[in-house]
Amino acid sequence: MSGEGVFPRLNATMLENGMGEGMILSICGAFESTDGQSFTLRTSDGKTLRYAISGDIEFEQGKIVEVMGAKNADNGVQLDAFVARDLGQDFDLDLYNDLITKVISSGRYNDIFIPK
Amino acid sequence: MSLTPNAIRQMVSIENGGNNNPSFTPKVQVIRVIPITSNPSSKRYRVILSDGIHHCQGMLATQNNHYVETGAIANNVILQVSDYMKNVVQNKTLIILLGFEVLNNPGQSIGSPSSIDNAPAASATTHAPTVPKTEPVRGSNPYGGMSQAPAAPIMRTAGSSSSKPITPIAALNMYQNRWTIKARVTNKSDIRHWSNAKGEGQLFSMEVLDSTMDIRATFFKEAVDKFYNMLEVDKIYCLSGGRLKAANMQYNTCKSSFEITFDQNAEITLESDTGEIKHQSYDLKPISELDSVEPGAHVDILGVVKSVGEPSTIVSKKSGKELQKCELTIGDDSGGEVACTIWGDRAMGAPQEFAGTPVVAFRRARVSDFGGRTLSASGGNGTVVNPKLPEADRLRNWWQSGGNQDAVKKMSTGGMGANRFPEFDQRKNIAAIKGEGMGHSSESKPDYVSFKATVSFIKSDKEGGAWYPACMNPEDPCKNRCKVTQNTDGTFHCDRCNQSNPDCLYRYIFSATISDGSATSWVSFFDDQARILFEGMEANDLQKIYVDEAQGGMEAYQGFFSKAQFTDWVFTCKVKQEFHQDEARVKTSIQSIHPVDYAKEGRSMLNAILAM
Repeated sequence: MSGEGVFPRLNATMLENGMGEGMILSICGAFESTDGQSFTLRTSDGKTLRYAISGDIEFEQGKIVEVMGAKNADNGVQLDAFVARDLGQDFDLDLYNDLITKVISSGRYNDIFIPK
Repeated sequence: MSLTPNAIRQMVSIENGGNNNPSFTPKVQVIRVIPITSNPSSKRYRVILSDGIHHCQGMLATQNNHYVETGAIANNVILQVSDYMKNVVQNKTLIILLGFEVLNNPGQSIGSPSSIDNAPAASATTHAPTVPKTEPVRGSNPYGGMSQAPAAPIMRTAGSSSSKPITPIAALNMYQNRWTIKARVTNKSDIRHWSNAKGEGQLFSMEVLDSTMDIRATFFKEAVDKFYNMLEVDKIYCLSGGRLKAANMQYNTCKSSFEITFDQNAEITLESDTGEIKHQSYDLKPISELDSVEPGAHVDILGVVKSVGEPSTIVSKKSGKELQKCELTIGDDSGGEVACTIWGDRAMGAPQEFAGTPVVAFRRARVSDFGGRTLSASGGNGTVVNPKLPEADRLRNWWQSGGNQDAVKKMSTGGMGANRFPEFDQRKNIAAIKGEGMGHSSESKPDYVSFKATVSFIKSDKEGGAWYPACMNPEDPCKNRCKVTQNTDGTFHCDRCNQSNPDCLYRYIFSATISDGSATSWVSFFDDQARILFEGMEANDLQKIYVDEAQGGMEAYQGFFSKAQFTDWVFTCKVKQEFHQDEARVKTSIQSIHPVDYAKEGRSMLNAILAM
């Protein structure tokens, strides 16, 4: 599902189901907590993921961000986080969740979303 | 199915004229239904009601006549009565059936009921004298000796306390000075005071309805004090001593061609409600036929409130007053759907009052051709939620059994209301302006279209600035809009109101192009919308910056236009043919702009995608 500059957009459920294995992936959500080494993200489907901070990430509680990361299930974290992009205050996470589940990964519009 | 024991005794024991307790819903049997034929123009049905122990006389309220006419009520049917009234006429008790549910029909009368009129008071159930059950009516003859048509005392207005002949409202005419009408008050206005050159006084008006038609009546001066508090909406009165004059059709929407004036010589008495006169007269128009109604006309509409908009306050362009409004979407079983605006205090509470898709009757709603066809509901008691009409029940049944899924013929288009936010499903795109040949449909009427688009270019290089000088006069006819010309002494003169002012009010006017994924179009912006585009910056203030280098001059002025370039908005445009010399050109101007709420738009788009 990925190509040059294209990364799968997932939520926690999709990750649990094995999507995005071995790729850099994009997960949107809100920053929840941090202990300096790792942080938790409340994903667009309401679940929590723990990331290890592997890059320059400025944590701010409640800020809605897109986290680029990769799966890395050890040391108590699920993913490594490389960069977090600010999505602004008005970002509608529910709408985003519907988009990635009902439209993008529905299979109906693969010719639009999946590079050949 | 057994009848409610002692129901008859209980029913006749409530107070005269009173209604029943809503928790008392007795099952009674209609032993006989007797059509009353004495008055051929108005059908009434007499009934004999029984609880198996006693029977009594009753009448079917006229709005329920269809039960007999369809055969739902026939001899021996059992009813569960939810709403009735008790009346006493010439010492005989009558139960008027207003609301009930038809249960089964056992085909024969139950028990051996005897007349409640003859029964001794209380606990006499076991000692009721037997009466041949096949003919309880003829045997006991409750009308005390009158051998002609049984219901004569009801139909003849001898039932009224004034014992004068009652004139039907439809029969009133200028040749008859002395008349008495018996009618129900359907509408009562507030007391209004006036003061003019001739003097001052007070008045109020009301509308009354009898079984023929309705008429407007106005009370003046002392009559206001005498009658205002006494008259209650929905009660029936005998009225006499009034004068007739031709109805003023501008304000009067009643059926009668006359209206009545009452002064302190009027005589008005309260009458009991025998259920003959409807609570409200409606001449219902199916919504899908509204396109054949002339704008400005008034119609009665009965429909289901499909949705309620947000109440809002606008300033009336005519009066400058603040008005509250709320828009409802109404549908009926003709397949039509129309927007109806409620005004005034009722608008603010509309989301609560009209929640839950109720059936609502709109009396004398004004039809406007704004946006196709739209309705304006008279405030006050012209709008009734869940009215007591058989048509309301029919409409409710239609809605609940799938009417809400039916295809609709929308009488109101998206472009109505100057500032109404164009909903996602009502939008088109810029290519539609040419593609649908907008502006050509009629010589005088413009087309309206809404879409989301981006401002791609603004023509700001007009000499002197992108505005025109307007008249300072805020009143009619100028309202700060008319163009003024500059006099030699620097003052501004307005041809419209013929005044000169040292100052003028600058108002934006410029052309711009707007683009979306389909096309680009030139449009005109006027002051109201341009101000929104410039985030509130008024032309007057911008003009001061423009002419003053110290404040930034030309560069600062251009800055505002650059900032507005490439901004997204939801536009509503007016597309119209304009004639210059002999040429006709289609011109598009901006009617309203709304900022784009990306999350909301995204949601609308997602829903549209999922529905594909």
